[in-house]
Amino acid sequence: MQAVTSFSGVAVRPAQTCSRTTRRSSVVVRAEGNELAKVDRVAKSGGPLYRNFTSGQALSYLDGSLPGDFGFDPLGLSDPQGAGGFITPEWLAYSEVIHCRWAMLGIAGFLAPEVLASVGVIPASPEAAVWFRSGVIPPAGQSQQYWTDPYSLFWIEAILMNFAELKRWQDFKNPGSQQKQYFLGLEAVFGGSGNPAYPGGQWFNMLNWGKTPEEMKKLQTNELRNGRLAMIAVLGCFAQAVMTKEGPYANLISHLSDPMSNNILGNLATIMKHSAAAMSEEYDLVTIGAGSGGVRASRLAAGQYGAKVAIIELPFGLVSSDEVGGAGGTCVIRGCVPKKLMVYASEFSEAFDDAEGFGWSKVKPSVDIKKFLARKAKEIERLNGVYGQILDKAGVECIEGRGIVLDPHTVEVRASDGSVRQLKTKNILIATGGRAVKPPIDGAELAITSDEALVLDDVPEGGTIAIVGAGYIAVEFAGIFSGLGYKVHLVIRGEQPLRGFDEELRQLVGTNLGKRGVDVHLKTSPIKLEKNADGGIDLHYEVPKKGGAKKEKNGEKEEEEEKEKGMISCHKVLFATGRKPNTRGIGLEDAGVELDEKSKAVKVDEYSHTNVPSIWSIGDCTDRLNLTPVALMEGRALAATLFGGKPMVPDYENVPSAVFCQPPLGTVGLTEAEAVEKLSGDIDVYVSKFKPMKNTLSGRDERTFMKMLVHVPTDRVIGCHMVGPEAAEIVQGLGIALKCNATKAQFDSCVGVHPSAAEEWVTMTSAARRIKGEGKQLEPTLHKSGGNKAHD
Amino acid sequence: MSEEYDLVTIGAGSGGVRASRLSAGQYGAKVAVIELPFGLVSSDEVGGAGGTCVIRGCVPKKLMVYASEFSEAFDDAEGFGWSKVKPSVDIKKFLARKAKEIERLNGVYGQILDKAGVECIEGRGIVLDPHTVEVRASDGSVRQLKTKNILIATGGRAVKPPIDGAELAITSDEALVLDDVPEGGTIAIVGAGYIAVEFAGIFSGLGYKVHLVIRGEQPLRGFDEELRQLVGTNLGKRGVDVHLKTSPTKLEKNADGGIDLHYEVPKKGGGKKEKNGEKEEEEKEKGMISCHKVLFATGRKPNTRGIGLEDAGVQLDEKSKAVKVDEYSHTNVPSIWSIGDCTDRLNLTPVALMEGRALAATLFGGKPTAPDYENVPSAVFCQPPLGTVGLTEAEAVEKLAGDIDVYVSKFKPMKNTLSGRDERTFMKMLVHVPTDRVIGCHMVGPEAAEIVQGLGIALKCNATKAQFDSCVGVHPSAAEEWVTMTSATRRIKGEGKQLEPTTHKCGGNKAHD
Repeated sequence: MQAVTSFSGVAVRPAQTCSRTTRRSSVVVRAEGNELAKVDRVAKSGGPLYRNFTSGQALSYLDGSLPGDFGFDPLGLSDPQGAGGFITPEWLAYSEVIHCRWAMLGIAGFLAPEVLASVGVIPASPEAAVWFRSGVIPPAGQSQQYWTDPYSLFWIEAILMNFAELKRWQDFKNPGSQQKQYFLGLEAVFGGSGNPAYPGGQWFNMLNWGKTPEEMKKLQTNELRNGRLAMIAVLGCFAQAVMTKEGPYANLISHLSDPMSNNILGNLATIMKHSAAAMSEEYDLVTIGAGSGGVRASRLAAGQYGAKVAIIELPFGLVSSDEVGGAGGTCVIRGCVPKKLMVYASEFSEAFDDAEGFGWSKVKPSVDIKKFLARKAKEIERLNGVYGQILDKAGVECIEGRGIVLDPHTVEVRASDGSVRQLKTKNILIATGGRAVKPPIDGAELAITSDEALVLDDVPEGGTIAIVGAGYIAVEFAGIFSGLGYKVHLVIRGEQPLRGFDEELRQLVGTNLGKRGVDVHLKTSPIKLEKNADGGIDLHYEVPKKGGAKKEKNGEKEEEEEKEKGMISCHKVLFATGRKPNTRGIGLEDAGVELDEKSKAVKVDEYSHTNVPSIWSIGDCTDRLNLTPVALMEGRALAATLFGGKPMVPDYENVPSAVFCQPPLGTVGLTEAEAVEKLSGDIDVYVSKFKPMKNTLSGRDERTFMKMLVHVPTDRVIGCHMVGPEAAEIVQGLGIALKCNATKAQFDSCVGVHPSAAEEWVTMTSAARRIKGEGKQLEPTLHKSGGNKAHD
Repeated sequence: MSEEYDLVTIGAGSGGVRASRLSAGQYGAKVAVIELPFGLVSSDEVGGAGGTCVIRGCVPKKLMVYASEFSEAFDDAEGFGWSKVKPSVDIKKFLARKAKEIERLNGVYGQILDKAGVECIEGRGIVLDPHTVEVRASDGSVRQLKTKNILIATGGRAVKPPIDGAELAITSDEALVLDDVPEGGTIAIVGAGYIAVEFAGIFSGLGYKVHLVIRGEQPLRGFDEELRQLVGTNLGKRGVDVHLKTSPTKLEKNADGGIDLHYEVPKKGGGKKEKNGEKEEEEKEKGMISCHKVLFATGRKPNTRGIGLEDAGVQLDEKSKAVKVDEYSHTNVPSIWSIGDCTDRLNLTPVALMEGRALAATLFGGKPTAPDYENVPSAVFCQPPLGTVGLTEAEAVEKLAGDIDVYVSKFKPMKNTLSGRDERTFMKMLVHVPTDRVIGCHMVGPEAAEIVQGLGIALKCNATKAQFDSCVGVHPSAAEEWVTMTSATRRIKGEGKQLEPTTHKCGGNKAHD
């Protein structure tokens, strides 16, 4: 143990020295280059490698002919002439042999458990068998790993080791003395040569390889050589452990799997980033925006990796603006959560209708929207508080106000009381999310967005609401308002709602909306809004003339199409026409952060890194895949990249998601169109359309639709799409299966849960059609086991 | 050869229909299937195509669950701003509509068989010898079929325990058509299995007062312990009066025209005398429940008597009287095979389907196929339902060596935050630490049945915890909890010998067809 510690001291010091003077990965590479150049110069001039650290007292046999002859002895402990210090040449030679042996034993001990666990010979997880984790004393109360408790083991080992070391020390001080000091009766055997480094004599030469003194000498030299290699190897293992937090075997495997990126330079780059946290700036990370992504990244950075983190968020409010936000962000306050609560509220009307078919007497209760919204608001406020607590608990400093980036290392917080505060930080995380936008048409200011729709309480019972938009927000609100008893018009510019989803699903969602009483206006473009005499709003629109021929001459489409005008009178108009990233007015341009020209989203690389080295960005403001769980994934990956020493890239493939239209839509993997575009080879399309069992008695005229896409050459399931009750809950598990690279045969091997809708996914026996992939990818993306997330 | 049929199947339930349909339709065998005349309550003379699942099991049960769940919706709606309503249910109207749907499905099964070219013969099938089946029709006519193979797929039937007055009680068959209990009347259910707890939920939701009488300490023996507890708690919260450690002793007609259920329970505070005998010495006290109906949901037995199996030399299990079969569903008689509940392996419809499919492949597909009984997902439609796949905690400890991480998530479903319903969703995941394999997923909560199906597929893919974690959640859903369990609640030690969980071969046991 003693030997090992001294090596680690040597190993760590140069690394830290470098890291203190260099900050970023790119710089590290340059620094490394300088170092190498310096070495070359030194070698040519014949001078010592670490001139500043040498004692200047070379041993007689170290004649300066080799760089290593100038020992690493900064404290000048060595004293060849006996004029000071306490380390003699005999001690140096002796201790080198002993260190060599410890190192060789050690390196064998490092490797054996990890390799054996990795190839499955011993039943431990490779992670637990890594050398620097084995022997870690488990926390009190956890299961006992050994025959006695670890504390007893420690003391037993300490006593035995002390005895052995003492005997060794005596033999060194008085060579040959051990054969006279009988203790166990074995000592004569170890009487040996009288040379304390080689005590055993013939006993350690059992195979009789060292027949002559010359051969013996050669063996001893070989031992020293191997031992020196082992010492270097131990040094390397320590360095690896510090940098990669993995064992030598895992490192070798990952190096072999990707030699270009998993090498010493890459590891150094990581460690530089990590140790940058020890620098003098006030915060390691300042996050602007406490939404899903910002909270996750900050919480993990502080709670799990110990970084000093502050998070800035606007004061709480249900409708967002430049002055109003709140911890929890869009998801909790103005998105997923309140939306789902409204879906629940609206679905009860379905239950009231369906009950009759099951023998229940007809009821027509009314809904008190104000009462519901008040209860909803209370729950949202509670959740907002929970998010604050989560942050507090993780040790994240929460600062209320508007965060503005002044420069790459300074964030200004403007509180609502007018006070201003500046934070110095090593890293800035932009997690400001997005906000609903209205199209620039006349009277757009009369319309509301989803923010207000979630607190809409002034439409009279049975009143009319027009929703403009075709995305998931539009169809979800259509279902919500229709279920709550309003008359809903859904105004869609294109031919179907839900662009980007599988075509057949889009059609079915359109049909279902109609069946539930929503008036769907397809190919309809709003042109202006006007207040009408009744206090409501007139929504003027254009549609292609019925029977009007499209003149498809040269121009691509509708310019020449004959249009006719129309008008919808309603109490409210909801624009669900898109969202844009919240990236203006927070100093990003001044700090030099690149934004996307069109969407104004923050441009980031796969590690969520902007072009400014100290600024990162995740979530909707980067406009990648605008979903809460994706922001969570990005936040988690970012925390690992920045502070976990483990650069991590979020994986955007096979992300399951749901649209809470009624009945809902669930989807994971490629749509039919995407599959054809990306993949080569045949694709089997399995389709199942059936009346859900509940509808057989309720009489509800709706069918559940499921579509599975299978890549025939690989049998891999590449997409699962459905519209039907509980679609959201159903696709989650399918998503896991797709992350396991599931094949159709594996789906089929699973027994169904009966009676359920989900069992259809494992009982699709014959393909509805076979289509040809027109893409280049020979096989679907293979997910590596373990994917993108680490346990935390 | 001179024999008339390649396969004669006795029993057109889930397994029999699947095996016959595939044998005839996919492999071109000449197949006849024999089934009793249709009727909702089964007997030696009454059956019907579709079998237990369609006529007296899964399907009518689920329809009743749907019907009963509306009362939950009526209650919950208030928290979402809806005005309070208390509609009543017309049980006769509902049962009539349900019966119509069941008859429709019964017809569908007949059509499926016709379409596949299977000859359907109505009557009671009796094995005369290993190659002859006699069909006794209800009009008294008798016909003999010569066949190369015989498939026994006769299913099972509910049984009552032999206590005094047992004839006063009904079984699940009659419970599914129960229309003579007055509104708000009292029903006592005896039993702790999934049928008992499902009916407790159904009758409670339909407005009856329900007593659930359980001999043991928890309902649902064989399921994960924590799930059992929660199901018990949920039953109580929904108004079911759960009587634990209670043994019915006799039933008697009472003066009101109802039934008195007499029982024994351990005396409160009465010391257990644990001398030599295990528990017989426990002090008991007696009690009584007066109710309109008593439902015995105390078990089912295979339909293997009186169909000539003994005469043909087919071995039956001594105790259960189930047909003894090997892994290919082969009995000891070379020409006789058996699948489904009458073999008492894993009595689930989809398992019978799997066995039927495997048998058809074995017999006529030239591809001997053994069904795989590991990681079969299943559900109990108590309210809220239970879903489960893989090993329970107790099974995992017993079977596996090495550490096992137990991840637990217990949370209030989002709907309940506004409805005020005091119920929590519970999820438990078991991970075998040395291999990182997910070895069990168990939950109680809304949509558990739909949720575990996908988890079952993942387990068939030998999914690891890391793979679960790599999946992005569907937000907001309950199921996303399965991919966001970040820290184990506890670590336990496996005490078994298996060094790693069973690895499913890619492709599993089923062929495409």
